Amino acid sequence: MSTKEITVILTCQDQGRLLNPSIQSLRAAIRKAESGLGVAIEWIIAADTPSEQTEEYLLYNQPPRSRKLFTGGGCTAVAANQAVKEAEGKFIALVCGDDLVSSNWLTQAYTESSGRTAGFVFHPGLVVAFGETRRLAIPPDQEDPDFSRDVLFSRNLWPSVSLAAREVFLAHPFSYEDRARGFGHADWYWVCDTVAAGIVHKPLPGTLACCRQSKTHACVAPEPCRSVLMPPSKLFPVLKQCEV
Amino acid sequence: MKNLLSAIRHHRDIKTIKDSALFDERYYLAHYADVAQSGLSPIEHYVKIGSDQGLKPNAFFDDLYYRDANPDLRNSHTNPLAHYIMFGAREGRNPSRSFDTRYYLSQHPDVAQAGVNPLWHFLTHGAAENRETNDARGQALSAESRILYDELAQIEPLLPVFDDLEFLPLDQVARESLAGRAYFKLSRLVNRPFTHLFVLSRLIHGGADRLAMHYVNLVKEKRGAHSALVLLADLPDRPARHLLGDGVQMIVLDDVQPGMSQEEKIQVVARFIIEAQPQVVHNVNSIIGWEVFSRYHRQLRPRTSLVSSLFTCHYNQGGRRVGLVPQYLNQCIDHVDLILTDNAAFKTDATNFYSLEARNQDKIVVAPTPVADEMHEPDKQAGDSKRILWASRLHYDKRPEVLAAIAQALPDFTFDVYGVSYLAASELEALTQLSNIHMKGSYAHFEELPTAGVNAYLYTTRHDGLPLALMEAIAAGLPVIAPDIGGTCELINNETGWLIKKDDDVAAYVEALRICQSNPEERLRRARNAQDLLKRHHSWASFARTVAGVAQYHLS
Repeated sequence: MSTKEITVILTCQDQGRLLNPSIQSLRAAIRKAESGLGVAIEWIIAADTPSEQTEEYLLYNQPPRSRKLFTGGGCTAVAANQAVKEAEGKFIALVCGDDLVSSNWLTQAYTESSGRTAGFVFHPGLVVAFGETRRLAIPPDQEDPDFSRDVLFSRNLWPSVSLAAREVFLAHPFSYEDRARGFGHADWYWVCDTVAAGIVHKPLPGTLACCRQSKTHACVAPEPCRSVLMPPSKLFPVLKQCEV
Repeated sequence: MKNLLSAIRHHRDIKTIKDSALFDERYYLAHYADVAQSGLSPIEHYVKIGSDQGLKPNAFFDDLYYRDANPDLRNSHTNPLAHYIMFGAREGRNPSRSFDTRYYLSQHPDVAQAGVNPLWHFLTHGAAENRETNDARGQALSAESRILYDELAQIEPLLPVFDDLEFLPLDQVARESLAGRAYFKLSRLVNRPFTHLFVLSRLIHGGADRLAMHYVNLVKEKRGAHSALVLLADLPDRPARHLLGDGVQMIVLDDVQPGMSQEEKIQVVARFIIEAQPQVVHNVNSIIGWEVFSRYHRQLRPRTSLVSSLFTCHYNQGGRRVGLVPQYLNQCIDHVDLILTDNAAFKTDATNFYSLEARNQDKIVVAPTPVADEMHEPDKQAGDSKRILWASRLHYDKRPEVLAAIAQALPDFTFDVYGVSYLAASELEALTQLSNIHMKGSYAHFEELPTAGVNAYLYTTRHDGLPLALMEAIAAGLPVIAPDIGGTCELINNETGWLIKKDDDVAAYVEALRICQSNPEERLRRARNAQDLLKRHHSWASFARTVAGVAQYHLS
């Protein structure tokens, strides 16, 4: 029987010292949630094929009461999926090593989630993109009467920062990116996969995340890359081919 | 009386809405496909029928919301949009959840000063200027958010200053996606598994589309009608729909979702292939198909075999290569599995011009077009006739000036000219002014052309592959006089017709026509030889054997 309510999973790869702001923001959020809610929180830092700089950073700066999980799959989806499998928490809070979350994020997201059934994923209510590009995004509410899932055909709508029941992540693992074959958009794919399963994505007004934008990481990019496609998704079903 | 009042009200509302320019006809037609068949103009449909059904006159006006949000209108017959135009905007009522009239006017004083309808301003100017339609940003950037954000800015100094967030571009999520809407509609239309997806530009009576239908029929013959799916991706034209085999499903992308851009179509077709995973996608003259192959071949192969048909290189009036071949062949041949053509001349030209490697040469397979196995006996009565048939597109490529010069040189001959004209008035006049040229208008099928009493089929052209018209003329029993262009020599030589070495050699054409007319025996001999050649190389059996023998086409 798990004694943990929440498992925080911080995914990373080659961020090195850039992990520091992300970790600091999570420490504050975890502190606030533990003291305010009185719940036990597990913290896994899940690194896939970490760069030397990331390994070195974590060697000297691993947060207290966190544990490291290293995988060698070639993309952070591998580390995230493994961490979900090993997580003890009833809820998973997923944060990418390029993102910072507001100190109230965990508290608010857990409070909302624990009062509902498992079919919800919560995201910050405001996203500030910084770094190579700067912009704001206000993620939509899937329960808004004006929401149309058609839009998910053209772009991702929610950031990877999310909190949901562990079974949601177990039932919908992240897909491994296959850049050589031009398949990517792991976050977008995950959103489509969950929406296809009837899971509802909701923003939490009053919470925020800041996402570092770089060539390899674009949080809720308004324009998907032209030559990269999402792998086949359950959200877009077509009858499959005849057997050969 | 009630009907009269209703008609007056509708008339008044239509005028009000029309004058306001708040009815987006393109939006309405793109979203509600039945409207085009209703017999009403889109605006009439909206006022008389659509509004009550909750159809939206533009992306930001929601009739149902407007009625719900304004209880004073619930039992009224007033059209919500007409009410908003006449009263609602001034009274600060909102046209939909996502457009706040008061906010828009307060944030954009220039609009308030101009006294124009705020929704009209947004639709015509504000959207392109990224003006915000509600206070979502203000609510998100609350005093509480500032405190939380400043905590993070202590940790990450590269974050913008909070006050600057007010000026950052806001990623306003589109409330709908035409491509997404199209995709879901398309996927619902496909009701059975298929193995071969044919992506065509359109379906007209041209040689390329007719050949495409032969491939469709071959798939039907070998694997069943359900195995082939035809998608008209670029244009909705389909006058040759009757060529589609019974039981084969055809979907017209522009009918599924009108109003899509080329980019949206590319995304829809790419996703459709990714999800359906057919064994073969066969592209015939579709730019959408080529763009999908060009961009997404890595994702589509090897599960799906990418096949394109190409026939010849086109040239513009300056003599430069134009069209699909220069645009796509060189950049795509490394990434497609098969190029199907109907003439060996094309393969030779492409190989030489692009210096293709052996592996890419092998991808070009020549499968001669099948023609009807039934041949008509040449008309012996027309042996000394001076009536000549010319049938093709009336286009610069077809050398109308050579046709005119031939007719001038043979005043005792008559020329029945068929085909749609793409000529300028002056070019057309050069033909029509000649008394022995009879312009007969367009035609849909060669078989419908009268051939009794015709001495020969004359073909003039500047560039070509292996025109279907030549084969159809031979099958109709006509001797053919044609220039040595493209793959013509694969069919016409001096045993099977008259091959003119230079495409502008008027004297050679004239001489050939005279010989053909004055030697009925020779005319008959060559016409029959051509039919024998056609039977050997252009039979359905040889076509089916050739294509079925290509592993990448997955017919066996």
